Amino acid sequence: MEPLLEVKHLKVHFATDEGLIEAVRDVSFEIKRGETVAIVGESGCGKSVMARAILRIVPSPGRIVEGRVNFHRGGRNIDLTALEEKGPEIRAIRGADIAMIFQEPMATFSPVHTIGNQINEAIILHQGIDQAGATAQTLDILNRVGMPRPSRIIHRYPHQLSGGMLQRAMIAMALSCRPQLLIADEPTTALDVTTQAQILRLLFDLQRELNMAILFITHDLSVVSQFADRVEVMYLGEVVESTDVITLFEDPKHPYTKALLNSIPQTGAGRGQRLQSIAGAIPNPLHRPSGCLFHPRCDSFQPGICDQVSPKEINIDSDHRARCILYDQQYSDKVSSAAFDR
Amino acid sequence: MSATKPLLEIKNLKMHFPIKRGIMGRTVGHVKAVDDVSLTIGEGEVVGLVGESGCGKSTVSRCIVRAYKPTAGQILLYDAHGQAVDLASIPEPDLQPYRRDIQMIFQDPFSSLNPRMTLRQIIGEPMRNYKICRGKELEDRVAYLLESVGLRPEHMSRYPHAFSGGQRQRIGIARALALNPRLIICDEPVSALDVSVQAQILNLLRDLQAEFRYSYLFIAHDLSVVDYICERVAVMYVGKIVETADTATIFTDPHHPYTAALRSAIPRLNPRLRQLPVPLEGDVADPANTPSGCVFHPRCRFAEDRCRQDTPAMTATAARHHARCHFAGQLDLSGHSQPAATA
Repeated sequence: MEPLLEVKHLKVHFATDEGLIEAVRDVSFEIKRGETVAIVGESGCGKSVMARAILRIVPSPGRIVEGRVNFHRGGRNIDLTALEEKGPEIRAIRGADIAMIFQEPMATFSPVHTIGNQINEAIILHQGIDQAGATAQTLDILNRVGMPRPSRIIHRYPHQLSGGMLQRAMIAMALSCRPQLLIADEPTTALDVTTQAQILRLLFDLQRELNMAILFITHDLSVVSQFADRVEVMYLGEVVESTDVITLFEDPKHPYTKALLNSIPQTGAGRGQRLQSIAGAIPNPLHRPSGCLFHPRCDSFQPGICDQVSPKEINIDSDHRARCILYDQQYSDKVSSAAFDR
Repeated sequence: MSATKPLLEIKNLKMHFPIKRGIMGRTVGHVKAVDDVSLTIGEGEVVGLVGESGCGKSTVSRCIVRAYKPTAGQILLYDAHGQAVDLASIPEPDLQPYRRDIQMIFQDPFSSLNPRMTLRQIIGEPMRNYKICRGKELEDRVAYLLESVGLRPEHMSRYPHAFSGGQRQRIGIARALALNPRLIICDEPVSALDVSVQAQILNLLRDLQAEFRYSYLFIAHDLSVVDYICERVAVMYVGKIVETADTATIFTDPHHPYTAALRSAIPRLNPRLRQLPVPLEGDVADPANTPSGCVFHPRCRFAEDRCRQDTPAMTATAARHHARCHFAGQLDLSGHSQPAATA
């Protein structure tokens, strides 16, 4: 299948007073039509900045310094990084072909306009129809996201709705123009588990109905396991492992992915047994480690190699890549076999 | 529980906050944040309190440390000789000697430490307040505490901003340990941390408990975390405890439909076991305007007329297992707790 979006060698830098932060360094991946790709990583790994770079809404002083984001739309191939940040082309795509939902629905909606007016505005802007037509569409989409009594909800202000309801309203707004790609940045992190289950179910059903691709940004691997088709694991601005969801959980290669999977408590499974934690903390982005970015915390650390060379992305399989020297032929004779057993 | 002596016994605790309206501040209703909660924590026991946001779990912890004065009920703290004192009713000034027995670890490691104090001051302050030690002795004790939570004693003169989230949580733990408390209330201690750091803190809390036999009241919304660290769990819903049981049984054999639903809502960590859980419909009930009868009935798929009228009492359904449901032990909740395997 042809890809819908291709991110190629994307780099986003923030020039701050303290120094240069390479928030995203050389990230490449693609999303096919109707597919769900999850970007997983901990805080500071660059996953949110990367998502914002696609829509060209990187906050200042961040800047895309290199790379391309090819979006395939109606047989045309548009490089989103080449568009003017506030120009008409990107504004026509943003919110219409590519929509985004955020972690904090409270911060996304304007507090001084009603829910109905805000969703209407998006519809009128992108579809050029009148107020009455827009309201009809708004009611329809609110109904579809399972909002109780939409005709009353459209007159409410954001503070009058609960977190789960607001998240539904935000999804409704994002889907109002039938996007081909939905970027969901931690959409359920602020919600309770039962509400999270409702929202994930809703996204899943709507995705099938609209044949929409989803770029799912999260730190929660259990949500990934239930929801994604493909996974990109990010650490400090780099994709360290990339594969389909089943392979990632059953045969992870990168030591970071393995450690992350082992450090999650699971109900019923890990009782009485210690969790395997990852040593240390995520490094300060201003003081990146030399060589492999993960080496100071890595169980399979190879002195003399990992702290000196930046690992290349290695093809483990046609559809499975990992950025680790353990899988690099070049170093195969220097690596102790014990490193793989971790 | 029969084996251990009780340390803290909460009996019929109520915390109702008045809702005031108008310029006269007329009371027009009450938010029943905690409504008739009873819970016992044994010595050296780790008890989990779980529930969704707004269910009143943090209010319970605030009543225990008397940040709030409870509306009704008792909070009995037992000393080593089995003598009890009721923390819910004794006057504020008389509380001081008991406060050191109960310490708290907070959720947000960024706002719970004073940015203008060094680690020496933060961790030393409780010991100075209680005139336990001073000078060199205090310093040694701070160094010892820092070491026991996995921090370097030479960092004692630094300020909190120099530390990462996980390290700050360790500082908060060291502060809680400073007075050698008997009960530590952990209010969502890992939910603000990254996954890779969460495991470190959970392991630390477990090691400390194993070594010093602290009692923990562990408050969390993440059931897998609770499952990992607690011996016994109480599930709360809209101000009431709806089920208590041993951790080993509560999630495998729940007796309250809410617990079963909560259990099924946790995503599995297995992409081959994809379950789209039957989600609970609707939102958590408003504690200012609670439903009649059983508070869970509007969302319960087993609800009958009786549930809309009568408030169920806590009933024993098995050994060490209690549920607040008219049909406790009679419902088939297996469909909820064991998701069907679908590809």
